[in-house]
Amino acid sequence: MIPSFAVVGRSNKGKSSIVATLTENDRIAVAATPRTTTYSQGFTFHVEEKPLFTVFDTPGFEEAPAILEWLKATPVTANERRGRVSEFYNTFQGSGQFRYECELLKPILDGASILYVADASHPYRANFESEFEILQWTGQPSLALLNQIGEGHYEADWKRALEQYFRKVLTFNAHTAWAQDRIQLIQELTFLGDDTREPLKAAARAMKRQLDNRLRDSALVLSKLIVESLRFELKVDERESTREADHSQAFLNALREHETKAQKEIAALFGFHDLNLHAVDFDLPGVDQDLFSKETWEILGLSRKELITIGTTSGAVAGGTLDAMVGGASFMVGTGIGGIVGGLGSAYLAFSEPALGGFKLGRKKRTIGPYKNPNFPWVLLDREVAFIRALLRRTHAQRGEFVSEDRQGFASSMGSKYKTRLGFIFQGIRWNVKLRSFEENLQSELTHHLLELVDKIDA
Amino acid sequence: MRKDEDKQPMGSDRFTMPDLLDYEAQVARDSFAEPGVLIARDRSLKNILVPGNKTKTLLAWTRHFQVTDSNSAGATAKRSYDLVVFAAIVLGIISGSGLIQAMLHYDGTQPVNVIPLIAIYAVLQIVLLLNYIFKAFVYRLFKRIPGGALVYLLREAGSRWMQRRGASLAPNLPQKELIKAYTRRLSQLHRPLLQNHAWKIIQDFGIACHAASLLTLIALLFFNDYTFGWRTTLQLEPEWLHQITKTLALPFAWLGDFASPSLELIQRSQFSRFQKSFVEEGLDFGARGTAAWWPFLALIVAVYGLLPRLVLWFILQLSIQKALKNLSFHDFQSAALWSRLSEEKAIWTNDGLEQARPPSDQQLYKHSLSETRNCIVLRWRDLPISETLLNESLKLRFGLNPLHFVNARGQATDADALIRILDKYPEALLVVACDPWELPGEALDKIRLALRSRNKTQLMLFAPFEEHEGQALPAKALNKTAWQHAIQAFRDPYLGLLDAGESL
Repeated sequence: MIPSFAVVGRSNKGKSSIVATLTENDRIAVAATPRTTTYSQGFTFHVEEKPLFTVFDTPGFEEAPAILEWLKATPVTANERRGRVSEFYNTFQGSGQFRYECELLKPILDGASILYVADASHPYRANFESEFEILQWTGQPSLALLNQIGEGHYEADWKRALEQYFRKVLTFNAHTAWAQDRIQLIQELTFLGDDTREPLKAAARAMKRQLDNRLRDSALVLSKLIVESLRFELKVDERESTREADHSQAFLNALREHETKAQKEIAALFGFHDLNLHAVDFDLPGVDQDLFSKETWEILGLSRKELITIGTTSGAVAGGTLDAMVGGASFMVGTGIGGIVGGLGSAYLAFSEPALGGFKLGRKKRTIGPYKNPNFPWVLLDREVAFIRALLRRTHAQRGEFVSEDRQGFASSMGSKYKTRLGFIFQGIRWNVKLRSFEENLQSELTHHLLELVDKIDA
Repeated sequence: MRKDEDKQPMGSDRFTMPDLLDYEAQVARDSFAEPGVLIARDRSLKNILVPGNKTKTLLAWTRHFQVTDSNSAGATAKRSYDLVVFAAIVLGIISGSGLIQAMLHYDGTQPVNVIPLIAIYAVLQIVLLLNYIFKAFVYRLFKRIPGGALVYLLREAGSRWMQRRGASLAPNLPQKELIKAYTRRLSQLHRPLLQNHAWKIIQDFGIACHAASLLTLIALLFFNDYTFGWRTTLQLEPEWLHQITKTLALPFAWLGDFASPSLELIQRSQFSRFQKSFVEEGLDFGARGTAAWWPFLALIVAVYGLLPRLVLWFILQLSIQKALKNLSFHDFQSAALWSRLSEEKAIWTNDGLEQARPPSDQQLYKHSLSETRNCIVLRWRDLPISETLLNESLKLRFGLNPLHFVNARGQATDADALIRILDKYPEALLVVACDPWELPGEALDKIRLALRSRNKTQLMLFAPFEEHEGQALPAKALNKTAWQHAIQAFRDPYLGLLDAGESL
């Protein structure tokens, strides 16, 4: 039998939120009203189809004092208490009376360890003790989790009370716990029994690998978005509209769609299926704005000075490659010319708004793009990294607004070495040179940076 | 895409061209699907994973879809390709046979001129061969053909044409974008492979053409009595021609003297159209001797026409096989697919999620508290506000007159005690003073039901209070929506929320 854990507690104290966060399921019904959960449902974690452990979401305690009254009505010794709880379950199961308590006791009587959830944002009250006592009577190993639903802070009071009834008390905020916190909680659960140790350790390892894989896959999606956006061209039929602005708008809308598609893809990787991308609320200005809004471009991406520096360096590296190919016979002329051309080109593009010109394909057809602004890939990169950061911080118990707390754009915070390298890759992609190797380089660079993000969040 | 390549059994562990085309078609299709759907689908295909072997896994993945699609892109392309190859071979046979017959046209008045034969079957073939070798080597060295601007433009134009053509095949169908994506993937990722297949068709044609030429030549020689000669407008000395033929015969001169025309043969077979006779007379030699050209002619057709085509065909075949064997699948879509298939499948499962109940549309009781009313106050679950403060607040803020205070924690006996008091004051309303987070649940419902068994319309109002600066006040940060939903869930019109003189 695999280890199982029943998440129990007073009604409306965030049990379902904790289960949603732990199981990364944004479809679990979470609401601010009591009795949202009416029966126990198990969520089993599998690695390669091997079940490792189960977490039960249960209905809340509703009538604990009355139940304790019933349990104590017949005096029993400590060794008979579990039997007395079973008797209660057998008496009332299916009767309609104490139906929520019967549901929550069912997995515990079947052998699940107890994870008692308390809301540390409300003051402690003595009436909770009847719940602690009932759980104590079941004789199952138990641990208390202090959740934080509101603004108040009463952890100390709660800890003092809970430590008398539960083997361990941990703080776990279902609305802020990100991947590493979840993994840590799983590791803490090993303390509940020897038989839980190995499966839970294996589960924690699998969750860590899963996080790395998600970041790698996100890097892949992000690289694809940048490559496709940098090379995107739109063919328009000039018969359909004669206005230049309409064509430009259609081109920019297509790029916006690319971004939305990529964001959906990344969100799905992190198990967010019902995320409302339109309700994104980022603290980093420019991220929640339109991709092509003025503010976005003023705040995100790189400064003109940085763009010119990177353009010059990229040009020099490209010219240097030619010098190397001719064995230095060019006396570094390639490096010099490349640097000058790259620098001047970037300066021109950075200080002007590059037109979305294109070329005619025929009498009626025209191709628009690609988008030439040198800051474009950096703005995209900033937006998507901020999005991934926000996903990493968001838990599956959160509903509604999607909040990010970034204060600085990712691109501007990168070291100059990385900026130059990425700038060179972006240029290579634009020039369509050795496309495959540039794509691979971009992917590995972004994977490296995204994996580093996790350490930064952790820190 | 020859039969020996295609006829590999389904269990073969290498990609064939139809497999690759099917793979690309499926990946192109997937680029329009929802990522979540793809993750779910590919993670369910665990049995096809060959750990650590991307190519074999992707091949198994492709074949998984081939089973369900007998009319796949690969199968269709294979049929089309076979048809084109067949047409190329037929055309090659007809043109090869026709060409040699035209070359060997002999009306008995003038001998067959060997110069065009040498030019077409040796010199032209050498030029074509050198061109191919040059391209292959230069490409190998620089990974692109120099002077590439034109080639690049042609290639890009070709690629764009392919995409447009692909799209125009289904102009009004949803597949338009799909075909576009498919042709784009093929032209970007597998262009050399496709080019080699095109080259192979040319070699198929060449082999058929030269084989037909050779066989027709032998047949014509066997059934006719030809006289060969040579003539040209150019001032070509027999010694020069001898030098040329000697050089051309180098690859097969080892066969014997008959393989290379002698200087004497060349001198004697020079024909003057003006004189209508061989330049050097000697009819005996002319009638029989000039026929000695044929081994040389047959050998140049075989060595410069047929043999290079066969060699090229095998080289192309090998390079196709090598390319198919070394498919790297480094593109983004393949990398994403590999990741979906190979990553450890760590997932949560459950039997079915409980849906959140929709909020009740029950209308709550509306009443006026303008008149002073008597009330019974139930202090619910250890509300830490004294009776004095509650009494004061209810009187001053709500105009209520508390007659009695009862403490309850949700025990079975609570309702009995409360009912006994309420029986004494049937007109009084019941105020449940509680912490603001103590939303009413089952325990309060039991009290409510007990109340309703006696009095169906007795008003029950919840007063979520908190103590602030020595006063009992309605909670400031009250989640009114949650309270409203919690009260509405009882579907009792005589329940409400006491909130600064208003009820919900």
